Amino acid sequence: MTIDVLVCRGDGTQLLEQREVPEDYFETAPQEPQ
Amino acid sequence: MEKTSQYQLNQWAAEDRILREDFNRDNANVEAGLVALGERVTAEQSAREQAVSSAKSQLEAAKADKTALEALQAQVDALPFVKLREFTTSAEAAQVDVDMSGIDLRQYAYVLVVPRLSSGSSTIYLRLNGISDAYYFREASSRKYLVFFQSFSRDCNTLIKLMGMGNGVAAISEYVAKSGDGFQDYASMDTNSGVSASTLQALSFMTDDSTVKISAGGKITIYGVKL
Repeated sequence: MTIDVLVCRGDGTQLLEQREVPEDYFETAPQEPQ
Repeated sequence: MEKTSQYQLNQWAAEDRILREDFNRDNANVEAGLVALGERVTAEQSAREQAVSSAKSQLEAAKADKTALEALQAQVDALPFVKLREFTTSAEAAQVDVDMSGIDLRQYAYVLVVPRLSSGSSTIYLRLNGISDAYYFREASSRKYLVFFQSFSRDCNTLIKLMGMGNGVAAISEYVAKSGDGFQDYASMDTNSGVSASTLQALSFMTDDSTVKISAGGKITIYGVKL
């Protein structure tokens, strides 16, 4: 899938770019109790 | 009668008449010339003295500036914190990457990350270089993120300390978040084996839901704490 990534560069500028990531990219399990 | 070439003073030849007026004119011309010369010498001397005095003042001011600058530098050197990065996010995004190139974690006791990011009520996770594989460890178990914290919009204040450790990066993270009528605190120590201090390029902040964005207007500040 394609996601928006806001890149904050070392020189202080920012760039909104699109990036292709795997379908399970947002899986974070196992999670700790919150 | 002949005249001298430069100042036109009389030069008598043998056949010339000697007149008082000629002597008086010559003497008047000589006096006027001497007076003008004297005035010029006085003016030049005064200008030179002024220039020397002005140069002295500038030198003394520069010395004072240098001393003040050295004192200021000493104060700066004595400060334990160095601000390395500061961003206010300009757009909402599924992920926010902060460029860490040029920051060597080993130069510092630790690098302190203060993320004030909001994503509704969702948890926000930190990965290194955007790596989503399970290269992150807490105690004996692996997982897909280095640390997590709550949205700043939930009154959550988070501090993350990053350290270069051997071939990996270690993190000590702490946060306090509002929970019901009270507050919830959390602390963890985590490591990552896929990224080392020398290969760390970016801190990647994201949620665990591709449809939930990190809001614009969040602030990320990063300090180096000197050894």
